[in-house]
Amino acid sequence: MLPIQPFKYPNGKYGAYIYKSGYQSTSAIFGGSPQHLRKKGCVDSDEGKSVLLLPIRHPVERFASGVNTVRKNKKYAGYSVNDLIEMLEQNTFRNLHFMDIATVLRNACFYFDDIHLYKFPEHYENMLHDGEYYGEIPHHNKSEKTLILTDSQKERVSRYYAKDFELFDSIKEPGQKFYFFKI
Amino acid sequence: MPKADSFTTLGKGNGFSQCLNTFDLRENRVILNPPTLEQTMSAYWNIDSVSFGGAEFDPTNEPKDLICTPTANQGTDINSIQNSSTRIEQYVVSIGNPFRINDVEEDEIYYAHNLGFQYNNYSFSVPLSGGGFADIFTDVIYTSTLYHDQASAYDCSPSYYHGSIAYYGAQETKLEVSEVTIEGIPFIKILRQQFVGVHSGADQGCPIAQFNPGTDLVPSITLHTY
Repeated sequence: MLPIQPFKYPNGKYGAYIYKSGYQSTSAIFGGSPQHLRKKGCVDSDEGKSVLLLPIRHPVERFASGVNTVRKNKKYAGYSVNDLIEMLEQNTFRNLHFMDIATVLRNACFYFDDIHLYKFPEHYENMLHDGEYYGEIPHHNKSEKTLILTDSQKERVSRYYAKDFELFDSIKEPGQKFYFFKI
Repeated sequence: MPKADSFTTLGKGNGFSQCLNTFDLRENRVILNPPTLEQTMSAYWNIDSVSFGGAEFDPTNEPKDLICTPTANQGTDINSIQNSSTRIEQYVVSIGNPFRINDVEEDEIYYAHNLGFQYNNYSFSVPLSGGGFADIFTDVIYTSTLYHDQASAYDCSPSYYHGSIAYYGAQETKLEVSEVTIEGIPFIKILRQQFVGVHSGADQGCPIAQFNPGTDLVPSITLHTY
């Protein structure tokens, strides 16, 4: 699994395709094949700063949407929500739909000078505009049925995605700059 | 071939159960082997499953379910062959929403079925003879209607630190593009190979580009019959 799948906005800033955070819409606009990046750490680099605009979705909503998506596939159709949570907790299931954003961000720090965070879907349009994209914005999954988790499932998902919750809650305005995790 | 219940629908009067998004053709994007409206409709309504190198997306829906839930058959599957900090090798399949591309200059509208297959073969921090490291990327991509023309010839230049050469950095991107048809559905096949390397010593000069291979495997599509 690629920890980060970047693409370029019209103004040269980078975005990243994030499963269950606008992946379908964003890849329809910018093309599905990811750009390859060069790691930072060059001496005397006079290249311009590389900027990443990253969408962050509420972790419980993102998880629920991920469950809906993977269960469309016959090979996962029989898995219950609890099965999937348990497999994630026990680290026996690797699937990009459930990769935590904290992992994406830790990798992004190797490649980008500036990272800006946007709540998804609330700030999605702001993010595209900050990349100077003003064309049509698709809303692919509007018709998808919402999966409601029980309180205990929400609690387990919240524990699993604790860092992502911290990130999501930290975003007070679109494009807020990300510095580093408080670890 | 899996047999589906036959049905009749007016949809949105455009051949689909939804209005399709339309995007303007962007710079450096090239149109190739676009499907007709009929081929795009066939890919949308009749797709049963897609597979490539062990990745398989076989949605549970019947074609008629798309009338009320246009996204019922959309999704992705990945088969990870290798996954570490130095190697990624994986196959990816996806079924997405069809869309349209507006070539403003030519005043032409093209359809894209948005079925996709990828093979990614990446090596990171590969030691180079004489010192230094390289990242080496190969993608085999099957996509619809347009591709990004991003080939770049071998380029190598020194980087300086306090007036002296610190290292040589080189990169090259090769692109081979062809037209293929799978189960009557047209695709663009792209072999993209990229080398990004750094020779650490000034005395080593430019590194020689090296590339990872693609794959001989071919994607498979199964369509419903009625």
